[in-house]
Amino acid sequence: MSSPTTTAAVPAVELTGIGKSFGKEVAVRDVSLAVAPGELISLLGASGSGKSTLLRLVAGFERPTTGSIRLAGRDVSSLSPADREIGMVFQNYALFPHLTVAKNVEYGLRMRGWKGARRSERVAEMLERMRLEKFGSRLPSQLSGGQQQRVAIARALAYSPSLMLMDEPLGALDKALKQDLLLEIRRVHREFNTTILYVTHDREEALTLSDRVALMQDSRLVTCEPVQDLYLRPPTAFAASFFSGSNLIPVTIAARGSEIIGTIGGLDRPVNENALAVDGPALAVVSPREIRLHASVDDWSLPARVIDVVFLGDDVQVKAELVGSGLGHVTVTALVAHSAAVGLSAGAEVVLGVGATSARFVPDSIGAHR
Amino acid sequence: MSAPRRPSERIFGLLTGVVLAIVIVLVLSPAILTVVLSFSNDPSISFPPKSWGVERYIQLFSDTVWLEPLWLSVRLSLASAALSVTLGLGVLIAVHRSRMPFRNVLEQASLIALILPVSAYAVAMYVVFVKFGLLGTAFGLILANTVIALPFVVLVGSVALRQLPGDFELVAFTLGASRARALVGVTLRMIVPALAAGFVMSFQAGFEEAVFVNFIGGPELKTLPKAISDSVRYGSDPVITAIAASIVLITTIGIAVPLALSRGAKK
Repeated sequence: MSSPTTTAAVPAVELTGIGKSFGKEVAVRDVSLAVAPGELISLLGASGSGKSTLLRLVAGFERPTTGSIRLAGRDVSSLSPADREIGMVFQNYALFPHLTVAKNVEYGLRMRGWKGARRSERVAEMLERMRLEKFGSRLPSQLSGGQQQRVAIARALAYSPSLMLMDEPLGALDKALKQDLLLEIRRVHREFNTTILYVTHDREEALTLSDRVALMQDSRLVTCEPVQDLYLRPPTAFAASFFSGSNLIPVTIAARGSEIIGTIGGLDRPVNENALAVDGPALAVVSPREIRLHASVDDWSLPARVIDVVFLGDDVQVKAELVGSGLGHVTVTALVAHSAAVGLSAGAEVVLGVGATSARFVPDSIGAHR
Repeated sequence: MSAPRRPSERIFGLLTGVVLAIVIVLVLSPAILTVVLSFSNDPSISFPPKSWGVERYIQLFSDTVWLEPLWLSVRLSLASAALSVTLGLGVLIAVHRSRMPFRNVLEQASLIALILPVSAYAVAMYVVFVKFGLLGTAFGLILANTVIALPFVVLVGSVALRQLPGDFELVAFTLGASRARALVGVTLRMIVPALAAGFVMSFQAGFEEAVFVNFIGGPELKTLPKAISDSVRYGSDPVITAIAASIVLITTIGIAVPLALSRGAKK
């Protein structure tokens, strides 16, 4: 994925201090975000994190309580959705059931006053580009889920809006279909070169699609970073567990001479310099693949009791509870080759090797140390 | 193939069948009887008919005594159905698509005619109509029928609007539609089958109305129900069985067609 240049280009979307309250309930708190033209940004968060409300604010279905929204440099905060030059794809597509596919695609052009000949030309072009040529005269109810999504995208992009908003468009689909449609959205993004704001609660979708991921938690924007950075170097405990699926293990960091030492369960191990940022009690972020069933010298070797062993095909997922001194009820997940887990079952006592050199460290924002 | 059943289940199943049969007979027998009786050539209504024929239908469609009330009823009912759909539409938009204060009260108020005893209502209406000189006028009768018909439009329309996801209107906004165009072109367009059903039910409510017309219709307005009740009062003209059978047929079509239409629209 090409990462767009940030030099001097006017952001396609610029949110400044956006807040939204419904009565006493705060749905979005002080969100600022700039999206470069052509970027695909996922708004990722659990339900109730404010991501959908943020999208509705950008669409213009709601007015922000505080802050301003600029699209391509134009302040649209007080404009109606019709005047914002956006396209939107809803979760259930909201195709007009009484209109044919072609009429659905044409609707926006008609509303925007395009003349007849130009309109039908554009409809034909959109149908072709979305591989829907054969379906122009069908009703939406006669299409499959994947075809319906393509119609929804064709309709949203027909008049070439500068921004497309997508509200969990794959939320209600089964996994096999999802994968196809994700690739379709990637293709559309590439070929139409549209800026896309994509709301989802599914990190797989965010991973597959995004240039950057805007992570939302408790009505706030936690961070917005390139997808690889966020995955490999999560900045917070929430990002690590929600996006990377990493383990969080309480650790104490201290500099000792030229070395930085991380202590877990009384074991000191040298760690990388990322740990310097979080001197004292912190959390070690350890990917499931960095937890082994046999500890090497550099690992923290931590006694644990196996809770569950799940066969996943190429890998075996082992869930275990650390039973070392001072480690409370920390549960970790390891992904190991199944040759390493032969005969392992729930209840077994093991010594886990937790990779110290590859671990990353984040502040203990979830109070694991108490 | 059904699984083996325990005796208690069998008795229960048998009872269900019996109750179902009774209900069907109770509900359908008047309609069937009416149709059967209408094809009798007996000089008076009697059961079972001694002779068969279509004499009563010939009489019905050749005799202005019946055709005039029929035509009047059709015209009045069309007018009151049109009026109640128009008013109902206003109520529906105000209740479901505005932020008007007391909009729920408005919805409840439009349903009052359903619970008020019709005769009490008619007496009150009589007093009001005397005051405004509407007694015995077609316009007055149309107004009265509209009040009875309005709840059907509001009820059917409300159900349709509640089932309609709000996303349709929102997506129309993002495509450049104004509030008014989205409301008319999308929302109202999509509840047309419900409004059609409301129109048919309103028409029927007006067409069958036999209480108001006695209070406020005066001698001039002889609607079909009035004509029927008059004829029964002064001896019974057997033609009314043909009228009743015709109404059964027309009503069945009138209900079945919109139902089939709205099913088709949903699919």
